[in-house]
Amino acid sequence: MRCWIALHISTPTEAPPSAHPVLDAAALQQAAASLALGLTPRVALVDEAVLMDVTGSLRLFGGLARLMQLLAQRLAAFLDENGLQTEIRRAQGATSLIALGRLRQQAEGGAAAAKKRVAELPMHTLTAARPHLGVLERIGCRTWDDLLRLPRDGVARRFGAELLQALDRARGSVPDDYEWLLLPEHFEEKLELNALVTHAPALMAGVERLLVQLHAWLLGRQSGLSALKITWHLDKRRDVPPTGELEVRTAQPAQDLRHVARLVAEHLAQQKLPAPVHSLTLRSLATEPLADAAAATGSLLMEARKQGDSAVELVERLSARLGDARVRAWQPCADHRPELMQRWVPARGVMPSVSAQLHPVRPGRKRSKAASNADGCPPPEARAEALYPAWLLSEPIKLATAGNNPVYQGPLRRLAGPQRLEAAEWLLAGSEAARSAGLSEKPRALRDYFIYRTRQGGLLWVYSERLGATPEGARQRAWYLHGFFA
Amino acid sequence: MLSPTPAARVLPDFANAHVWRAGELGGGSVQAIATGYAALDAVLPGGGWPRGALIELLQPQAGVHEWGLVAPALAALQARARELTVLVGAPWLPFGPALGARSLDMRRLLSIEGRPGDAPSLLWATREALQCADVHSVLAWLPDARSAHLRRLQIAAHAHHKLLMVFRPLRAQPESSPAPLRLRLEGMADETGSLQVDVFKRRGPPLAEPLQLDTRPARLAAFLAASRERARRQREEAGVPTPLLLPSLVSLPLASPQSPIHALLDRIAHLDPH
Repeated sequence: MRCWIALHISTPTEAPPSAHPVLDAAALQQAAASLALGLTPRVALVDEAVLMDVTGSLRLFGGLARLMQLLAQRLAAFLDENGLQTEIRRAQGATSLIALGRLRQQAEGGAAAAKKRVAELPMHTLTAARPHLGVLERIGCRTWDDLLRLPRDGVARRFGAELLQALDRARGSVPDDYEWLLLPEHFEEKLELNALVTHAPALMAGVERLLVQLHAWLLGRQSGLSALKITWHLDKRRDVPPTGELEVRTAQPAQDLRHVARLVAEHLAQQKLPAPVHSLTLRSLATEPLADAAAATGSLLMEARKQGDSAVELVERLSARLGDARVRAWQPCADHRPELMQRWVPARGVMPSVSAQLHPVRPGRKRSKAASNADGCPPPEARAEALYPAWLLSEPIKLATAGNNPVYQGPLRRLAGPQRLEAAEWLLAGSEAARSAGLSEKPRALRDYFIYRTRQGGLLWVYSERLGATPEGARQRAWYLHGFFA
Repeated sequence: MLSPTPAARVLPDFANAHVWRAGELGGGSVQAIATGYAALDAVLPGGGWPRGALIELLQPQAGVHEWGLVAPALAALQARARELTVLVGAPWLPFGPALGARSLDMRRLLSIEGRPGDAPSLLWATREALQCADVHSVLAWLPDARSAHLRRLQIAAHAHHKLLMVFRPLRAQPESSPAPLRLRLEGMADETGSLQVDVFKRRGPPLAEPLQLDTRPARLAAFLAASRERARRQREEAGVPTPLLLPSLVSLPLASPQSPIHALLDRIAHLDPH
């Protein structure tokens, strides 16, 4: 015996006005169908309802009751996440038309009516009977049973073959087949805006409506989004390019689009619209299948996740507003010149390595680290790096001089030095760091480093360019401030 | 002398644990991270830097004393959890090798740069960092922050239970602040170069006198002492009675406002037991 579920989802007519996007009926139906695809591949859109053949999935999900519960949970979670207020009705039957008939009956008579026997379903719940309702009523056919009692050839002559076929399908004597719903490979949806929009952040309302549909599509395909493109179509009467577009990428493929929505909002806030916008298109550029998509969406374990965003989301959001160059992570380099020992690179580009630091893959890592420490590595405090300053100036500041001494916020007192640093060309021939940092054009460094103390008690790291061993060279020494001990 | 016993007798034990008498050091329920300096731990409520509260550090000049004071606690935090430390609006670029020598893992550090005149976005970045689950501490240099801004940061730090330190200039001391812990940092201009720390607002009585902390790395201190010794010996060998370099400036008095009024304005008046 087969098992069908009919599902109907609608926006309540007397819904209170809310800040969240409101979808039209077709979009809601499409979203519900996408979610239903997570439970069975046999989903069809028929009239106002979503029909699902769950016969093959019953055993996997542990029976009809469990499956219905799961469907309700997923729908509720999806609607809740997107802030939608809807009414959901669902009915179940042995054939698709019985399920649909019960669903329609339920809309009129409440939950009790759905329990009616199949033979007692009223005539108008059968779509094929709708053109002939008046005649059927007058000849006394009010329920499906009444029509089945009439002679078949007479019914076929009077009402056409479609009605008989529909009845046969409802009774299960002919195959119950539909064109099954397939989700497209790429999501692409266009939205006509209610009014012309001249201010880029105001496009966000439209984008949010599209993102809800995208979310349902992702759930149906059981994949996560990693890049999308938003295109807006400008008023053609202006002398400007007809469209503008925005690409948003995220490092972790996500099904929950709240992070993506915030990223889009940050990017839109920086956009300037040359002309009013009348419509929007949202297209998914790259998606990745999520292995445990079912677990990630329907599971109660979701609640066990840590509160707050992940580091990747933080960096993406900061970079979106401040620019990549202002959010930076540290990378070591092998060089003995202080300015080339490290690089501060845009954090967005190196997030995989930063994430690897936060979530080590191998649990045995900690033990090996402790072992290597025990091997006789000096404790960090004893290393020679302790003599470097904690702050380094990216560009050394040239200091004024008083006599033979540098001056910075008052006279300075020399505490230690010189420490000589030399980087001649022949030493640097194969220096990887110099080449990658693009500093190879000034490879020579002949410096004497000193530690000076200011009048306020701070320690400065000051160097002088060694101009030559001659007395004239020593006299015109140039002093530079390169770092602060803190 | 009024003994605290009557209240202790009246209240049941569990309630007693939540009572803070203004004459004592508070913060029994605060989760704190040891600062790495025993003398400082002893005067901080809870015995260390409190988590989930705004800690305000005032200093004459940004970037002069931070790492020595903060690095031991940050290193301890990093050893405990694999999470990020975020620097917001740091005055200069931190130098990795030197901080590595202070046991900090530089690969778990993010730096968000400030631009002149862009104070609002730094405040926003600080709040965002506090909301991130993968961050355990935020150090922010916010010279232009106002009291209302700090209040929002204090609420965010409390809600997400993060270590938040805000560095501000000395001129912010007379302003009212929502931070439960405020410190003033000043370097000593003598040979030891120790750091003078005054805890001028805390849950407890005012600090009798500022602490002196030796925050320089041991190796740097030893190096400076050796250099000093060598210079002295060279002078003796050359037979020069006066120092070759500039005269010491130790005698110059520091212009530090020691007025007790500001310290008292910011707190419940200290109860003098009599």
